[in-house]
Amino acid sequence: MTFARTRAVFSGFVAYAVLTAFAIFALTPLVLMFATAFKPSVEIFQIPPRLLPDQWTLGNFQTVLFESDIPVYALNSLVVGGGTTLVALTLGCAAGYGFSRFRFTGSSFFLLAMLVGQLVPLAALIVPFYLLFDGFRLIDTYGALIIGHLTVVLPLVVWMATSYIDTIPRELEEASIMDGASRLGTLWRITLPLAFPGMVAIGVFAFLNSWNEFVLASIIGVTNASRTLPVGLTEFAGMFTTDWGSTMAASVLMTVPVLIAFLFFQKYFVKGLAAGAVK
Amino acid sequence: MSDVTIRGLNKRYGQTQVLHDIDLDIPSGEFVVLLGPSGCGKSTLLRCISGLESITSGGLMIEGRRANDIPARKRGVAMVFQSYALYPHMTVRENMAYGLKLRKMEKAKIDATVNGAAERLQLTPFLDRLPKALSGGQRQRVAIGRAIVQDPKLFLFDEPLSNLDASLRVQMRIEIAQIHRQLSQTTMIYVTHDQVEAMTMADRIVVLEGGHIRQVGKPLDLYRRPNSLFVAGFIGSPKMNFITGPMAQSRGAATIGVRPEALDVTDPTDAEISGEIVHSEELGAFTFLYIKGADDAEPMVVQQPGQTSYSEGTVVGLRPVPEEIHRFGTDGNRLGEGDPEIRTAN
Ligand SMILES: Nc1ncnc2c1ncn2[C@@H]1O[C@H](COP(=O)(O)OP(=O)(O)OP(=O)(O)O)[C@@H](O)[C@H]1O
Ligand SMILES: [Mg+2]
Repeated sequence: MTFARTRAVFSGFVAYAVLTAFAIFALTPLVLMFATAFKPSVEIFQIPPRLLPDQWTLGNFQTVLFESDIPVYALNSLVVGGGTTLVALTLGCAAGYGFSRFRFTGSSFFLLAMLVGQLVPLAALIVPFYLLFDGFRLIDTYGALIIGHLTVVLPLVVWMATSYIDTIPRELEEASIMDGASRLGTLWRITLPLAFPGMVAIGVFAFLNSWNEFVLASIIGVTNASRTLPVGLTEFAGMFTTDWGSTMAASVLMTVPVLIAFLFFQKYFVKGLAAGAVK
Repeated sequence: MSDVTIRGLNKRYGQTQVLHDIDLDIPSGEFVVLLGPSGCGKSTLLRCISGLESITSGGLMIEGRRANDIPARKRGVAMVFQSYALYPHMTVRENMAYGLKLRKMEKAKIDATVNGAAERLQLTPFLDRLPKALSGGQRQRVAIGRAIVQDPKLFLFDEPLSNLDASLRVQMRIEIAQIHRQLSQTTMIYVTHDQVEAMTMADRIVVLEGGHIRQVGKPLDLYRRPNSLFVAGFIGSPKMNFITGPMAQSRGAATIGVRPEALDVTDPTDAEISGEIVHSEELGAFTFLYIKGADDAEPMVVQQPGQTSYSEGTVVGLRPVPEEIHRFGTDGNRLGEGDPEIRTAN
């Protein structure tokens, strides 16, 4: 065996070892979550611990679905996530198109300034947000959560949209204009269809961010009117005991739709991210 | 069906001026080639005419109407881009029908027009394919087809063949020339930096350098009577040989130029120029000899018909054909003809 070959085999082996380690690291909590969700409560803290339940049960799911407010929270999360995604996509793609296609006074400054906003941690914004939303009587409304989530998501969405639209050749738009289309018609018929994979990726990103957000949701979503899933999960934790089975069952219910959506959009997602990255 | 008139056109990007006082008249139906080295402003001039780029100052008239402020999509101009710019999410048919649909043409008429153009360009078998499933030459034809169906007054090409390989380029060159013959009423402006394309396709060539027009004329007029050193050196391949020093002075010029085919190889003893053959290129139909004198910086190129028997290292003499000597002054401009000095030197 030549040296180069030995090295190729060896580096292949190392790559697999490292990736396997990462996979285990990333998947263990997920597997534990699924397993625990199907365990009766006596088995959860059994010693010695076992990965899979002896006695599979749907009891935890029953508790979560029919004896708790989790379904309400899921609906709230869906509305807030959907609203955030919709607004982020509309504004973000419009802004991304502008930043990508026009050089106007201050364009690079604005683009950078938005990122600077990202440097402030959300936790530091909690009190001002609370006071602001309280002033507008928006506490415990979808609107407040959507606006709050947008402040985090929108700058990144604008950046992603800008770099994605940068990958669409300008000449296609020019050809369309020479063919007699207006700029808006070109945007609608050429740019947007070509930007679709990128927009799907960006939309998934925006939705996930909102779906998982906890800090802001915990102070704004005070009642069932707007409490979201991540906050709702904490209800199973009492002062002295925590209902781990139900917590995990609710977590499964929260994760699965996202997982399914992700698998469904994966094709676009990878394409979108890759196209944005390479250019 | 379009006269294009350009008067004192300037184009500036911020502080950098890219086009300087361009004046140009293009009669209807003419095939004009904008020729010049990279970065001389050919594309910019074309884009100013198309409307994709704004004009800083000066006038552009299309069919006698001032077009400066007419938006690109309303100028009745079609353009073929170097990168083809086919819409990747549309089939060949949809690509060609796109502009017609925008103009609200009836469906049946769109189909007829697209099918007609596809037939003319041998694209019929590919009408339902996406651009990514086409070869470079086919893509180029789709791009041309997309422009043809618009039935434009004015047809603009920006280096449409530069992404094709050599043999396909020759073929497409002929096809474009044929299209021009068929659409004899359509004015065409064609940008290239390939002087062979320019010589073979153009009714007239506009030579640009550094944002200035250097010369406008029929291909052979430019070849026979280049008005400056730049044009003389740019048109013709291999390049014209330039000679300075006593030999030029004896003919009353700062520089004289002789094309490779206007140099006769003679015996070194009775020739004004002599040198050693440092390299030869045999192309079958011609042979190019590179001949370098003792104190020449660059070799002179001589084109001999057919295949020659000269071997490298041979010392030969060169005699320019007297009527084929171009004389240039110190400013690089051509000197007047019929000058007695040429005859005395004869
Ligand atoms: N947007 C711009 N801003 C500033 N300068 C520009 C811009 N576009 C072009 N230029 C400059 O204008 C000059 C002419 O450009 P142009 O693209 O017209 O050249 P060209 O003759 O088409 O060259 P090529 O054969 O390489 O395509 C170049 O020097 C270029 O750097
Ligand atoms: Mg160019």
